Amino acid sequence: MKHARDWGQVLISAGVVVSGLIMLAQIPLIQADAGYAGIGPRFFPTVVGSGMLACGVLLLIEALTRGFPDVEEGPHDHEPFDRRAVALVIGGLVAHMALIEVIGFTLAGTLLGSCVTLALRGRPVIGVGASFAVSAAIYQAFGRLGVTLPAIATGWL
Amino acid sequence: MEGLTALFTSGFAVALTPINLLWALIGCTLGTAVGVLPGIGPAVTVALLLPVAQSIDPTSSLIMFAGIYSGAMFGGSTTSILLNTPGESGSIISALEGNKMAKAGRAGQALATAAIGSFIAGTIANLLLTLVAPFVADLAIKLGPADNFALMIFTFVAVSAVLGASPLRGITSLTIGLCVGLTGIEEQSGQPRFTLGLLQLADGVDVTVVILGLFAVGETFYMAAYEGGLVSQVERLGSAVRMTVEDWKRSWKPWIRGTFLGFPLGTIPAGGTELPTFLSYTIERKLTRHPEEFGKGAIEGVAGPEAANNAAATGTLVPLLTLGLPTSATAAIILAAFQQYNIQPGPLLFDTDPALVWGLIASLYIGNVMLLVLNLPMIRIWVKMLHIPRPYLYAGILIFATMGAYSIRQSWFDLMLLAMVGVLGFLMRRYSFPVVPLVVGLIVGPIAEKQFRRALSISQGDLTVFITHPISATILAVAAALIVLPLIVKRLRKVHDDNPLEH
Repeated sequence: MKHARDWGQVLISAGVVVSGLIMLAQIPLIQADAGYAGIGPRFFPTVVGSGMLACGVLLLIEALTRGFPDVEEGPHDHEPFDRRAVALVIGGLVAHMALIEVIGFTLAGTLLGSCVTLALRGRPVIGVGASFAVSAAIYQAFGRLGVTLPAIATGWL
Repeated sequence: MEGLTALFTSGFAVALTPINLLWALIGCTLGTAVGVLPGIGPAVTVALLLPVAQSIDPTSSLIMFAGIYSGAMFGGSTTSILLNTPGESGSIISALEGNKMAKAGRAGQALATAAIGSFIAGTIANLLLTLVAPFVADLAIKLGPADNFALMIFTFVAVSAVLGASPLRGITSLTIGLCVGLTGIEEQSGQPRFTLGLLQLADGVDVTVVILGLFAVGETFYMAAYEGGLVSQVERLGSAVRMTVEDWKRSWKPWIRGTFLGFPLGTIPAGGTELPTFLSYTIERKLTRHPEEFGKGAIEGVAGPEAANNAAATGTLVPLLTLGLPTSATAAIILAAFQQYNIQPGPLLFDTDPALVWGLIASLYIGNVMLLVLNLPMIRIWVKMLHIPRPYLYAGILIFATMGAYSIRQSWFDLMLLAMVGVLGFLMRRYSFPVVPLVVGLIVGPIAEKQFRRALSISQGDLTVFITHPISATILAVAAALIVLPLIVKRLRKVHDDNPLEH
């Protein structure tokens, strides 16, 4: 069991490799009229991109051989990944960003908070009520402190 | 002594004005609250308040942020003692003994030794900060760009490679932070970098979005994925929060030892409060006269680490204020707050704006007294907050996070970035990638690039400037040793372990 391959580790390492490659691929797009002293705007991106690529490759080797060393133990070791709950949170966030300028901060916030409550198996009615209360309070309080938040009825919701 | 004079002549004059006392009190109260609540910490809170802080005087808002920082250290211990899950990473160790004490009906004593220990450690650490900071600032003012760049490299190495289980994962996290920090229009040449052609990325990714995404959204994803059904057990507070004579006798030495362990470790950029708390716990377990109680609720195991944790938090202010180098996530976001006001922390600040620096330091002394009151006689209020059920707590946290991200420039684009950074935060938590290197890389990276270029334009493009300058050469050598030495030790230990004859 100890050396069972963790595909999550392999995927995340591959993700780092790909990110490094994307970074390096972007570098030719930076116009470099090699600034004063020969160090233009490309130098740091090249160093960081190469560093990320190197890290990704080393991580991939670890993931494919003995696995990441000293991974912290936690609930993820024995609890199954709850897809429904994560989908609810993502859905809430996406709905929130799509609707905030349509239905205002308070209602979009209520929707998001309700999704989170459902995801974490709270009581729906309390979730909706608490989310509305928090969103409305934030709108009122932070609005007065000079933070601009969109509203469906300015000053109220 | 220079520090004490400045503290009393300009510091307290600033910190004791009614308005600044009020901001300190707000900060300490908020800090204690977020320290108590799981899922939201001081870094997230400061990030949320950045947009509001724009309309407040810089000194006042920094006093509030410092209050949040120290308040969270106090509040975190309440959670780690009464709840089986720690509120802040620095309190994980005290959760070992503290929660056992609470289970045995000694919650009051554990909370008292944590609060009084934090107060004593905080006060001594503030005094050390007062004495040490001007001295370090005097030294730092002599550093050139090459030396400053070397110091930043040292910080990168220390926060990513020294702490945590895997240097490789730490450095990966650092490069992600540096990459995000590079995104946007480059100041000197006006060139867009890594913007993927998106106009919204021209200004770069806001620090607030990254902090809120990594900590608040990432944590919510993790809860949803693995801990949806979790109901945490809050221990009863029971009798009064006070200590017996015996408790005092057993606590005072660990408090002092914890302080003198925590402060110096906090000042070096090996970052964070985990290491000093862990060391303090180990030392107390060795020195105790009651070894049989360790693991079952020994008061020394709460007193020492709690003192160390607070002293270390104050210690991180030394590099932050004198060098402009943050070594923890909260220090990094406080640096971002300074930058928002176009103030660059560093040695010059002690000369250009002594009222701000000393007012801030003086407010730490006052905040400590406020925190002692908030966390001893008023402890029951905070304990009530622990009973907020998680689903509604996280719903609230996420609503706050979206407010913080949206209010930066009223754009849904930042909400999308927030969600994406949240996924990244989840993955990093799930696969044990430390997040502090990412935050430090994001904030210090752009400063390091500026120093690098400045150094090279002075040396007319000669890259050897970093190794021919004695100070920067020394710092870089120490940084290299920090990477290489642990590898050698690991190799040696492996050889040792593989040799069965030695056992």
